[in-house]
Amino acid sequence: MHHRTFGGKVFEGVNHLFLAACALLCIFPIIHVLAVSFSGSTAAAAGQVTLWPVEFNLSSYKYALNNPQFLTSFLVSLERVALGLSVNMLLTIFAAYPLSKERSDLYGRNAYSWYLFITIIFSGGLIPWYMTVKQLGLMDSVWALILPGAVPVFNVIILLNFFRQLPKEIGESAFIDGAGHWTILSRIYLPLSKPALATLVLFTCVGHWNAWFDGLILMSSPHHYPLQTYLQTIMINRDMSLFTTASQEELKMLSEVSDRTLKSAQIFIAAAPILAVYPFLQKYFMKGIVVGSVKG
Amino acid sequence: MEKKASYPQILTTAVLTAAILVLAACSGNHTTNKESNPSSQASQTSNDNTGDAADSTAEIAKGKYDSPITVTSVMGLSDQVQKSVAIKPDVVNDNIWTRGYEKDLGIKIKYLWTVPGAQMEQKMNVAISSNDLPDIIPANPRQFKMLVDTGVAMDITQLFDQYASDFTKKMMEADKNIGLNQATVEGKLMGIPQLNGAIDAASMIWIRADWLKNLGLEPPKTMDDVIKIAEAFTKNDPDRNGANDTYGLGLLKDLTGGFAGLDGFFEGYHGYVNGWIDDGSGNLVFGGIQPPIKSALAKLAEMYKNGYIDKEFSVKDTAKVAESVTAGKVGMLYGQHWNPFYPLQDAKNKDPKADWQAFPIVSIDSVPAKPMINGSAATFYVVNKKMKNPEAAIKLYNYFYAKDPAISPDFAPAYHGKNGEQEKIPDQNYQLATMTSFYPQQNLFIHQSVNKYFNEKDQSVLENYWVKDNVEQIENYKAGDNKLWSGYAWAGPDNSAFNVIEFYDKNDRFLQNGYIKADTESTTQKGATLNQMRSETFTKIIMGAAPVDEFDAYVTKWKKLGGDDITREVNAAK
Repeated sequence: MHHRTFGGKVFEGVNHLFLAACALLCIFPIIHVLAVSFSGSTAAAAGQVTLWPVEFNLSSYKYALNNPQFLTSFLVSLERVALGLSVNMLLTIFAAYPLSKERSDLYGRNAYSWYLFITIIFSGGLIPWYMTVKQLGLMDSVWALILPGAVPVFNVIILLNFFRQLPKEIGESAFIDGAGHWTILSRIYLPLSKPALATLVLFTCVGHWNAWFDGLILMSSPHHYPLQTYLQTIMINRDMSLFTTASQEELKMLSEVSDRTLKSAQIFIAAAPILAVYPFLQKYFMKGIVVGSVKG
Repeated sequence: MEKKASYPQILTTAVLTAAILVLAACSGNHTTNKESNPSSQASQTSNDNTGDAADSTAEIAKGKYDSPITVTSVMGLSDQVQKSVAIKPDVVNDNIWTRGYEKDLGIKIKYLWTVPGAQMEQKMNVAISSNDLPDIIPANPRQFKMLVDTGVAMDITQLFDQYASDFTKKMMEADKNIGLNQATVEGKLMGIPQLNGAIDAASMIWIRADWLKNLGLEPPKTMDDVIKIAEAFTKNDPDRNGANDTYGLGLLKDLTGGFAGLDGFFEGYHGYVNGWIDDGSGNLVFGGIQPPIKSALAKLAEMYKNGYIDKEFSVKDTAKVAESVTAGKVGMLYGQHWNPFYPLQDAKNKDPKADWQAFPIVSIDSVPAKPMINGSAATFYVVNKKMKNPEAAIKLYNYFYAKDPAISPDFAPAYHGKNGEQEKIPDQNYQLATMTSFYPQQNLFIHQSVNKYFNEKDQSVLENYWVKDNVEQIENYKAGDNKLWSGYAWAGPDNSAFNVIEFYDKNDRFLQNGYIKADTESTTQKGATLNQMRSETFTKIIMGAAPVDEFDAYVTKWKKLGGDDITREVNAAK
């Protein structure tokens, strides 16, 4: 390696400091939430917790894990991710493969592409979306959370571009050897696209796990809420003016509802699965981008 | 070529969307103006098998449907009901109320959807926009106006008169018809108000009495005393910890509101920051642009400069101010009756010495300060024009008033549900009723009865369910259960929130806001901008970033940017 100039060293130093600061900014809130979740509720209410738990205890985790609504919602979310991931990935692959072919191979390819692409730019808006889902009879079922977004067009475009970057000759030679499209897709394209697929799996999982708004609008009962929708209901800033005329029973719930340690524990448990998935897919994620750029 | 292919797509989408919207609007305007034909006559009585209360139940219901009818509604779930749903998922559709409706009234309730109370507004907005509405629609004032304007709401003036039970009418009288008045548009009753206590919203001063004692101070009698207390709480180490770490007046960035706001402070200067007041000639003017507000702001700027107010108040929301209170940094704030439950109970848990007590607001001069009160209803049950048996809505309303208030002759405690037992019996809770409404003086009544018990040793008040419940909690607090302090500070006999409300009530201190109906057109359009401008101007003035005279410029701008329109509309609609 060449001897670096002074300027180069300074640049590198500043760079490291800057990146470290960015990383700290990202991780600080997570550590804070973790610290609050392990703290005593009065210490948390008094704002005494920053990065280390005060009055360490596990009671909020015990409470959260015994909270039937939390568990129900957790299961709904798992179901949603499992179903959503299968449907999304299947349709993404089936849409991306033909669209990655030449125009001469697929009649009307560009029309199909535009048909899909328009949905990225234009959407019907909230009310038509709601009415469509309702008229289709999907309300209050887990499919309402999956089918309206069954074809993630953005993912299709990523994958079809990845397919296009694969050398055409591989497919052609397999074709000459007698392979059909199913074989070419399943035995050649998919194994070669692992990095791209892993990235899309990650996107899809995170997307489904974190979505909360559709759950709120399309589910008819809180019992069917996915986890993030449930979390939103406990985290939302309450309109304090409503308490002006609240009855005594409602008021008595206030101190329980405002418990920050409990909220933090639930946030952390909800974030844990994604935090656990990331490291395993991260390596593909990095590689996917690099591989793509080299081949391009 | 292909690019052009996209235009038909867009066009089709646009046309379809427009068509859907038009259709939705049409069905919304579709009127079924037929005189509702009450299928059940008032003379009809319920069967004797409804139990021992058959006679009075007959009166409540004014007739049971022989063949049960189905009524649809939706429900915003309270925190308590959400817990119940988690324990018993079908509790909303099968509980003591739904069973009672079916048995005593012949009405089956079907909920189209339920949603946690905090998201009720959002969910209801979507339902209104897509005209996907039930028979009985619980609406906030803004949605109420929308439902009236779009012709969804039914005129129930006559029905209400005909079907409301005697007890229901008594409750309306106790409310001085304020709630009904709020639900009346151009002389027609367009919704059924959910009554709460308007007087409960009055401002009060919460002060740490233990700090007063440490410093040898008396509770405030005048505005000057408030400033002196703020000064002493800031400078004289009221918590005796040897550190200069406290300040006098808690304040949140919103500047107004039911906790750590300034409403009560302005009222001390006879200024009404969110209210409409009579200008002496019968016209209403907006209180927030009157001279008293300017004087109060000047004083606040001085207090801020001297450090009596948190230097960082402009970024502190409720939770952040609550943190300071719990940490024992604040000794005084303007608030409302509910503050003991949150966040003052947290402060008490943290430091049992924290002795927050409520005091009436005080005046800058010899004219007594008057707290402003608003309407008594914040939720309206709109009867959908398409509803087949609209009188059923009023029967459901009567039914709640019959079973829930502990002063009702038909009161049945199981319908109300017992505090803290919802985990064992999740289907007994008044919040599960399709329509709720309360005795407007309920909280004051509880307090007065509790007082009789503690001060005059009157045991007879315990016959009332509410009173018994509260007395038990206060006794338990006195016996050492610190967690129950909030009930004591709320309705207890010594400097509690309702001591203050009672004081106002006895001395005729309440000032009724001149305009309590739904927001006018211009308020809906421009109100948010005007509030934003107010919040910025006031914050700047208090923090010394702008001179007090900035207030005059603000008043001019307020009028120009829509305030004059709002004033005109309010005067026309009052």
